[in-house]
Amino acid sequence: MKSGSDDTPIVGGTLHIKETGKTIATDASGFYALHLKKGIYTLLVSSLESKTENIKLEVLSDGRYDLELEPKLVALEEIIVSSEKEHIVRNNQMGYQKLVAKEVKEIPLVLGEADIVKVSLLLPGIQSVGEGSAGFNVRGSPTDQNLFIINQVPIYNTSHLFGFFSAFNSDAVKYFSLYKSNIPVNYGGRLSSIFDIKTKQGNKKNFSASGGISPVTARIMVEGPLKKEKSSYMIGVRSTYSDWLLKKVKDPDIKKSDGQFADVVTNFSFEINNNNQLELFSYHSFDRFNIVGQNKYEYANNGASLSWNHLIKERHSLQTSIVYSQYAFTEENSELKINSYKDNFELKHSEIKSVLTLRPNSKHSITAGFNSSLYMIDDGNFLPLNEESIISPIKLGQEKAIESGIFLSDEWSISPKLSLSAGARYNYYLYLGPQEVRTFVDDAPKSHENIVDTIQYANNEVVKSYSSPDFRFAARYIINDDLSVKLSYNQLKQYLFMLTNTIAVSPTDKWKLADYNIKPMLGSQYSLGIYKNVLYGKYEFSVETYYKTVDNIVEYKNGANLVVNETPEIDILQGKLKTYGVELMIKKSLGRFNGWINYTYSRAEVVVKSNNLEESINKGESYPSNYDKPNAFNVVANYKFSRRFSLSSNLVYSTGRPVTYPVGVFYQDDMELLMYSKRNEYRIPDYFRIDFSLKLEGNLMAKKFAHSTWILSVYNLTGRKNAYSVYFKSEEGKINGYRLSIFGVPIVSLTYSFKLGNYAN
Amino acid sequence: MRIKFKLLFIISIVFHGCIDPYSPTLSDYLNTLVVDATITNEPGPYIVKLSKSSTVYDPEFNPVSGARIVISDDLGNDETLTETEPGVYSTNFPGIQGIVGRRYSILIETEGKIYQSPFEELREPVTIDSVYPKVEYRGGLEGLQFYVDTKNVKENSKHFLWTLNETYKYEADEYPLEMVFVNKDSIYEPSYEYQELIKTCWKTDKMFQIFTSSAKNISEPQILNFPLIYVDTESKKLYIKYSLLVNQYSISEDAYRYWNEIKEQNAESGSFYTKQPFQVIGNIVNVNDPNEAIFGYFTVAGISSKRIFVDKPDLNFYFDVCKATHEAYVRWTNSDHPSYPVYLKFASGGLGKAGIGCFDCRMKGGKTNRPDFWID
Repeated sequence: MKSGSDDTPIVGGTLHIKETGKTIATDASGFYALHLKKGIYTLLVSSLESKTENIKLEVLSDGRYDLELEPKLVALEEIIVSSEKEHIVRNNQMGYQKLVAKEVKEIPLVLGEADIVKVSLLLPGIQSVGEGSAGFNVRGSPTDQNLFIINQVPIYNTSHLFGFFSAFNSDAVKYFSLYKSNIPVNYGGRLSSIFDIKTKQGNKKNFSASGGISPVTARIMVEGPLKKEKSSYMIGVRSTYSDWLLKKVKDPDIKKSDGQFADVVTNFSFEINNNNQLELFSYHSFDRFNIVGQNKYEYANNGASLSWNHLIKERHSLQTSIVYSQYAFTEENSELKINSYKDNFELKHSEIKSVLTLRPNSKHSITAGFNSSLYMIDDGNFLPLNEESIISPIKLGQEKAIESGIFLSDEWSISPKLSLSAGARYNYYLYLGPQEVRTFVDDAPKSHENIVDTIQYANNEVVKSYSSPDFRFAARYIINDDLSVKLSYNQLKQYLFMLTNTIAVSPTDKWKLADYNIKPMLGSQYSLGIYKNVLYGKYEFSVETYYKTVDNIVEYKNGANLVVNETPEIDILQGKLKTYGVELMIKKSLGRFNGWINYTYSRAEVVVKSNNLEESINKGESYPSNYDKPNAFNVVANYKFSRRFSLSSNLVYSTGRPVTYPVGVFYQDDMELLMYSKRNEYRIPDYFRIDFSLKLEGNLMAKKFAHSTWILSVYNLTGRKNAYSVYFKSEEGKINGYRLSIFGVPIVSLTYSFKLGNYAN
Repeated sequence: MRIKFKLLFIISIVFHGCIDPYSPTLSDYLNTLVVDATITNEPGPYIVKLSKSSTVYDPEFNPVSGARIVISDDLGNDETLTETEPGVYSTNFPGIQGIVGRRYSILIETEGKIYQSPFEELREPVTIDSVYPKVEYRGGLEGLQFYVDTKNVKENSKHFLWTLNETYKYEADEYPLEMVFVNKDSIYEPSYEYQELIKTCWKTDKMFQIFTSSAKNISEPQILNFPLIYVDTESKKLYIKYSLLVNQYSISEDAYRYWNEIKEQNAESGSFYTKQPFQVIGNIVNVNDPNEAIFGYFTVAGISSKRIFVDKPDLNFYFDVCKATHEAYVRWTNSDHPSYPVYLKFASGGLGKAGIGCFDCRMKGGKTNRPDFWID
């Protein structure tokens, strides 16, 4: 099934067969497969992007029937988040959201930057530690448990400007799927969620362009055919256009600072014939900052993928991809001349994967395949920055590992009411030399004193291997047309984690592989959900509950220094994370007034317990994780006055994150010092924010060269000073507490966007 | 090693973020034993302070009296300390003496519990090569940044803790004090000797800032250009003469870990990438219950010191100076004058009035007797 206007595949389109009452959906490449007896049928074909069509069909034998749908000219019934319209009750997915770029543009965001990935923070179960911080905490889990992939390419640093914006240009993104409960077997390696981002495929018929300008960035996306109806290109570029924001500030220190970021995506697609398609994609993002001439940061992601989609016998498909991704940063610090240093890091990820989808009959959809990734990490060198520096150079070593998985799953419609999905994934992980491995005295704390031996491993020699199966299971039972129950059980493994003991993700956080001493993390999650449509699908209700555990979660000894650490295993402790919660969501997709409301109650607790006190945190007692925010409430509302004028608003509330406060004062050498509570015993004040935006579309003439849109947005309308952190200082014999907030006033911004063609294109 | 205040600062200004006073309710109060004890190779007496922690918003020293405190060495010598003031215990002459190479431990018996530290070696002190200032700018103003060089770092003494004492000479802004109205009817004129006496003061302060460094990760076994305090030109400290006493303690690796953590916790403030604060564990444990949290450290150190003097540098100064104000003479003899006594001097032809702090340097915390070590 594809769109008649630009020949791009229609994903998640539906075919309803009147005579049998059955509904099926197209897959990620726009393919569908139907099993029908000979006879005459009426097909009702629809999708979000196109007009609904009635098609009379006479089935005589097996065959291929391509559908080309006319795009909807006027999206009067605009939908904001389409978690597969109509399917919330029928599909097998739980904890799943699909966000379509086209439809989230009204949502007000910081500095008017349309940011599809940041919109996910308004969905249930997704939080961040504070405003402008990088990373997402999905269901109370650390940020490194999320896998971000854009057209198969994993991205290891997903933010610009330290986290204020995501590193994905919304103009180039078509949609993204977010999995947080039952993660399909073809994904592995991360425990919490998969953010699977798909970019646009270039328009195969006509040249088209769109772009815009916001207070921070300028962006442009061009697309068009390489060879009409056969191949196309899409190129999206976004960049900061000046440092004017910093230069405006009178402070001389800030004038000396500068920052830049940019990202570029390209996507070329080739239709070799009806059964074979090729897609060549590349991604690049970079950030460069110079803070007061004393701290310099540069980081970049580079990646590419080549995917081949092959259709077998018109109903089975095989997708094979080769993927490469690289992430690197360098840091220069000259705050203190004698301690000035530079530090660098690089991670290279090469992967091959192949997924075969078989549809032997209408009752089964079988997915089988494998993927294998080679990780090469260079922890870099810690070097003196200049001659005055007394830092001695340290080479921090390299790591290498192969993570492979084979998988098989079957989605089985036992009856129209009951469907089951069961799958298994076998993970095989090899940690490879060259490597220097330290062994420690059994049952004693890992410390420098307890090192028994240092073993040298040769290049490609297996240092340690871990292998285990994951089982994943999901079931859906339709009680009646508008009500269903679903449950799922998921097992996952994670072999790669971020070395960080700061609360927010910082641009100098390194990734580390599971190794001889550090065990991989094991996750399992149970979820149960009830889904209901009311008033012919006008309102969608869902309630999802989950219980998730992670074994071997990585925590750090108090005060661990992770920047220069030749023996990270000594500072790493592994414990258990337990999270559970209920997510309620009401959504109205249709009409002038649409949006959603969600409420989440969730908890996240960590236990790090060992036989010795030195390797326990909080004396082995459970404590709230840094991401434990029990109550969260979000409202997203849009009102369309007319086709040209609309209004949107967000309301965001959450419990403050846990924090460790001082609970006493003591004196050492006449200095007044603070003693702290148990870890995360207190909370910073609750978070609350209202945003507001107005969107004005250009005129609605059908024949025009370009269409423009203005969006005026106000972030943090009430100017509430939400606490980012709370800290204490001893000043003149008194202890004073302070609250730091990032946005203390409403942030107003104006964004201009354009695209070639009229309003509807 | 993180983007600390600066990034935050930029974000604050650009996005109008801000730092506000905020005092959350802190219901828990950890009431634990605190030990503050040091033994060095310098002759005693060595002082041990024993206290209980206090609440955050009402900090005070809560002495623990009546404890039995014993310092012992690895050769079997020991001494029981005497309580000289509540919570302050002292060794006596000729009691135990810190000797380089020996190992020392402290034992504390209070409230029926026994606490002890492991034996720690008294490390050889390392000579400070030099302490020197350099002119540096902070926030657009000049000042002096002090540095220390310690070259002959020894294998056994490579972890350091520095504490600082500053002394500076300063003068009252207004000199001399010529007339005092005690009340509207009574005047006296201070003597010349008294005018001279209250003009010049010396103020000595212990710096509530600690500095730590270790030569462990350094290519050559020496510490060069290690920054100590910064003295700005917004106070009178450098205006006449300034002196800095640097005490350098050679400490064990564990003591270094402790003091470094104390330093970091003390310096850690609201930064964008903040670490979790945590309880800093010392080296004193309850013999019968190792889980009991005891705060403080029994520091065993070889100590060496260096004092330097710095003459008034050729810099611009930005401190406020008080100026006598002219007022009608009648006001000082008028019963309506809001406060007595009124302090006066002759200023540009008439009598000028100023607060006592402008005439008497002792009001700013200094003492008029010249310290023994002071060289003009």
